[in-house]
Amino acid sequence: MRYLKALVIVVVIAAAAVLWHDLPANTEIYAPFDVTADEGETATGRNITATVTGVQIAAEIRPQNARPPRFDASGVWVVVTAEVTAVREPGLLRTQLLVGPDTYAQTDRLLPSARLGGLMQPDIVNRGAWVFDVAPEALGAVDTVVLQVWLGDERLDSRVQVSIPVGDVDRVDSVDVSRPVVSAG
Amino acid sequence: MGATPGVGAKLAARVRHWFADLGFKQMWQLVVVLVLAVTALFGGLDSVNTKVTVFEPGEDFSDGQYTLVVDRAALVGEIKDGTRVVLPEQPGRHYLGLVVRITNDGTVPGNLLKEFDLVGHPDQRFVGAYRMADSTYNSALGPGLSEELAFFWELPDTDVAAGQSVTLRVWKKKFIELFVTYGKTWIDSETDYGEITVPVKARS
Repeated sequence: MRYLKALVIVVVIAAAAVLWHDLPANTEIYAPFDVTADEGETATGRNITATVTGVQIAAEIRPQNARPPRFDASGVWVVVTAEVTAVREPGLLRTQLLVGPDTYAQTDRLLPSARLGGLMQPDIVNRGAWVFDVAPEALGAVDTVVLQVWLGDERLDSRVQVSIPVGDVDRVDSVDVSRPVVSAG
Repeated sequence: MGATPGVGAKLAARVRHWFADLGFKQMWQLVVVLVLAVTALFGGLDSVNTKVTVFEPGEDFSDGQYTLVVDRAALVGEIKDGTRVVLPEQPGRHYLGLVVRITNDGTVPGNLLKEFDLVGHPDQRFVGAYRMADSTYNSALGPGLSEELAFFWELPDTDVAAGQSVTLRVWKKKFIELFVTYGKTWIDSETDYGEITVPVKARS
């Protein structure tokens, strides 16, 4: 009987070691729930409503009141204009752009006050732009890019996911980027 | 007449005798072996040997996340872009600037502000990374993008002189899933790094 116990202990430790090397990833266990939409459509999740109102690709941006007054991209600028509102409670706005296997964050060339971001409040509409500096090779290799937007901690919460066909995006020399506008409704 | 013991019972008896014959010291040795075996099962005996890759100015070096080419280092008292002061002059201090071409080879935005460790200057303060093209502050670089940047450290003006060299360390990185928090990120190796020694040009 004692030997059986010892065998059970050895098997349990070996099984624990095998499991340790093959645990499910946190990004699978706590993945957000995506609410999908196309450009121009409003998507509403548990605590977020978002609409992408326009997308442009340009070599240069001219942010309002910025110094220097214009910025060239390392790659190309993808400028996404949108409206975002919190639904139930305040939440910090987060966004990223997926281009094939690559993930892009907003450029740090714009001051935080010049970007659509910060704390979203229920029923208060924030209109503005997200600007991404994207490698042209990555952009040329895909038909669609995906914008993801969520409030606060994305784990097990709604995340708006907007598909943007690259072929439909306006390509211009320069884009004026206005500061975000906040309004009630 | 009793039945003849089976093979299993004989083996069990032999193992029991073997354990019974063990002395106190041998018991401890057995415990140590068992602890090491279990540690190895959970990855606790993975290699921890330090591996240093020495690279030179003008030479490509990949830390896994970035490929970088260090161009030059120089001392400066103040950094200006036209009339705009980027980093102001400070009494008793000067700036060490390191010009680097850096490319993000990964698939996520990379933090640039922890890329270099300046070795052997305890009174240093890392100031930031600035684009050579327009002197704007650059904290992150997207995948597939390449920038020429100047990294700046603030030092006492008695520390480092023109003609001397500075040594910098770049830790190798691995892209891994985080266990405790959420997401994937690049983590510095604890043992493997690249090291470069760069001659310092005169203060301007």
